[in-house]
Amino acid sequence: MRVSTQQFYSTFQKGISDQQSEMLKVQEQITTGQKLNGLGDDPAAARLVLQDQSLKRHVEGYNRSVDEAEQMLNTTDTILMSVTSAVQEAQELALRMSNDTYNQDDRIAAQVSVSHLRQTLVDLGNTEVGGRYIFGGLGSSGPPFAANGTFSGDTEALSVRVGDGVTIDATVNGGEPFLDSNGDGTGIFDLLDELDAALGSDDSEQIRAVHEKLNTAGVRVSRTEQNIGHSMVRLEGAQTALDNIDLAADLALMETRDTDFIDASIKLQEITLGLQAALTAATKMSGLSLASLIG
Amino acid sequence: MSGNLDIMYVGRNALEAARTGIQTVSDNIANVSTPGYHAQRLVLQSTDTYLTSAPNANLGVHVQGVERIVNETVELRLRESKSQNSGANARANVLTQAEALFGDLEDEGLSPALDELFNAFESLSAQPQDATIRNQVTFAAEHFTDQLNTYALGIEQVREELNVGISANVNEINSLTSQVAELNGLIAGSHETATDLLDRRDQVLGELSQLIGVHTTTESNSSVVVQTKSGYTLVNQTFSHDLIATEGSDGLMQVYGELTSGNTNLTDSITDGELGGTLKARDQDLKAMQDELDAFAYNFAEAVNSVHRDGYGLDTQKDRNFFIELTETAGAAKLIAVSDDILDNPDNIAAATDPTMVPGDNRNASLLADLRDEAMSDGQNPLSAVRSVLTNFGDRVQEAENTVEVTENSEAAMTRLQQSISGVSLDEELMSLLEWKQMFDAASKIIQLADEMVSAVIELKR
Repeated sequence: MRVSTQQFYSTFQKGISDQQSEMLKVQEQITTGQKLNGLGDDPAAARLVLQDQSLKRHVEGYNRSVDEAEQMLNTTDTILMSVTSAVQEAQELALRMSNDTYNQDDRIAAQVSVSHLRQTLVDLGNTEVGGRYIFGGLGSSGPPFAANGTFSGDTEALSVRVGDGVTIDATVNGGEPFLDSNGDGTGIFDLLDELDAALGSDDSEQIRAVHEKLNTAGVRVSRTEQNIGHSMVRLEGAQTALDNIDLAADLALMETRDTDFIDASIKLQEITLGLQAALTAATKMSGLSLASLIG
Repeated sequence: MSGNLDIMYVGRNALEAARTGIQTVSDNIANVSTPGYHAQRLVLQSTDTYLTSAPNANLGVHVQGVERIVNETVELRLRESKSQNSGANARANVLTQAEALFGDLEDEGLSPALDELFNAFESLSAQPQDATIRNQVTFAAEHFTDQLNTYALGIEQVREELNVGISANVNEINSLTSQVAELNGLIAGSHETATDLLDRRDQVLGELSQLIGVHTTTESNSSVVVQTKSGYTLVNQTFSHDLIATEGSDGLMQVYGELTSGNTNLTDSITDGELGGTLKARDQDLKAMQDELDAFAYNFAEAVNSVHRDGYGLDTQKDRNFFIELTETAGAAKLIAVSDDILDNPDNIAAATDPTMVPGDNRNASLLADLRDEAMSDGQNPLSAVRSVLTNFGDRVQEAENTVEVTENSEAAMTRLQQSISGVSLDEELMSLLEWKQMFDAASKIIQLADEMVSAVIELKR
């Protein structure tokens, strides 16, 4: 093929400028640390990056819910321990007072303790975490327990989502474990009323009966504690799953978004060599002209 | 019968041919880097007879003229490939510029804002009674609508800023077509092959086709007819027809052609060249993204509002919109905003499904958070809808950049072919130079010899 002078130089020019633009691209990848520096660089990879970034943010959001739920469950757990000891105290009181060595005066004096216990349990039942009454059910419009132990909340639980398709009850069902939820007559405040009445009427038989029922109530409290413990274990599991998802997303991002510096350096080396070769060739070839030979 | 004087004429003609040859070679060398220059060559003819002198005299060589070395088909294809390449470049430039508007890959912009809005709904569902969280939902929602507005306005702005370039292109096109018309007149009127005029016209046609894709046909009188790809005549003989750039009601520059039947809008039919590429980026690529964003904004506002209207605020009231009600898809991304009900009082965010269970009821907040994974009316969930908008645009950017590469290569190939036909090769010219020089020397000898011969004859008579 006939080769014109302009063509000769423009071929070199194009070769060199192509290499330079390649070089610029690799340099950008190295300086930004990212392979993708625009949506058009690789739309399919960009989609994955956007997806993984979104996933990470989603995990972040779930983590906040996990923290919230954890705080509520931890508080519930602590409160339930106090409820247990209050119920135990009531049991012990009932057991002691059912003993015939105590007389009517002693029993009337013990009524004060019962009223203190009621007060304590009402306070515990009205515990508030971040504006939510954790024993008041879903609505949580105000303190659920009146001073006499009357319950005004609802019996639903607050369910919180802590992962795709993973929901955890962050509270007990409203009123648990204070209310007579099984209908077996062991509502804690009712039992305190019964105990109070039995003490007032100096009825050791009745006191013994209340003591029995208080045992059942104690069992219900510890069952609730177990449920809370179970939720906390599930929450931990959810947290681990979220951490794993986050890690997987990080790894995926490393693969799709981040520059592989070794690859990039090798590529840069290649381009540099190519560019050097092109420049050398261009200068050498430009000397090859008839003009320089004609005297 | 030939005489000594005839030999002198032969020498003179040869001398002239050699001189013209050197002249042509010099022209070629001088223009080795001139864009659009076609190598020229001398057309010589041997003359056996020279009618005005003695009928049988052999007077050697006759310079017929100088012609361009040109292959019209290759010229046409080169112009075509340049037209496509400059179109592809113009389009890619606009799209790359627009690409910078979307920082999503850097964890900025719309996608994070949408995620944060959903996270805020999620937080609300964990603590529907918390005033701080309600404020956060409002902030997140405002941030989200701000980002969406910014994207829509950004695209609109890029599209509008092209107006200046488009009218500049149209002015250039008009100036070039009138030059072609003028050159048509000069070329048709000139008796000899007007190489410089032809080069000039080819050059102008080249510039023209870099601005707009055209068809050219050459008439018998060597004038060219220039038409847009859709058949609007820009140049016919010595007449050129201007294009007119006028801003449309949408604020975007439209291109009209003047027809006897009235002005006709050519905007959609212009392809290739800077103008064609710019219009493609504006009216196809960016328009598509704008439409997709609008559709997303509209569908998303609908989806959120419809869940929100069913829920109850802290005041136990329902039927409130979360976003303002959008009446139509067009412009939705630019207009979407958080409703006044929510902005005025975050307590109005409907987190509850049961008015008797406020403030603790989180179930509607959960439903709002659930929208993250629910298909909207276009069949996609909100996040993947946004991703589609972005990656569809990314596909267009990539396609535009690939087209640049392809057209660049085909332009380079055509340029090589054209140059290999019409380009000047210095080595070749230097060889010719030597050849002409020797011819010149030899012709001088002929004249010298003829002179001596004539002198010898004169001497005889003394």
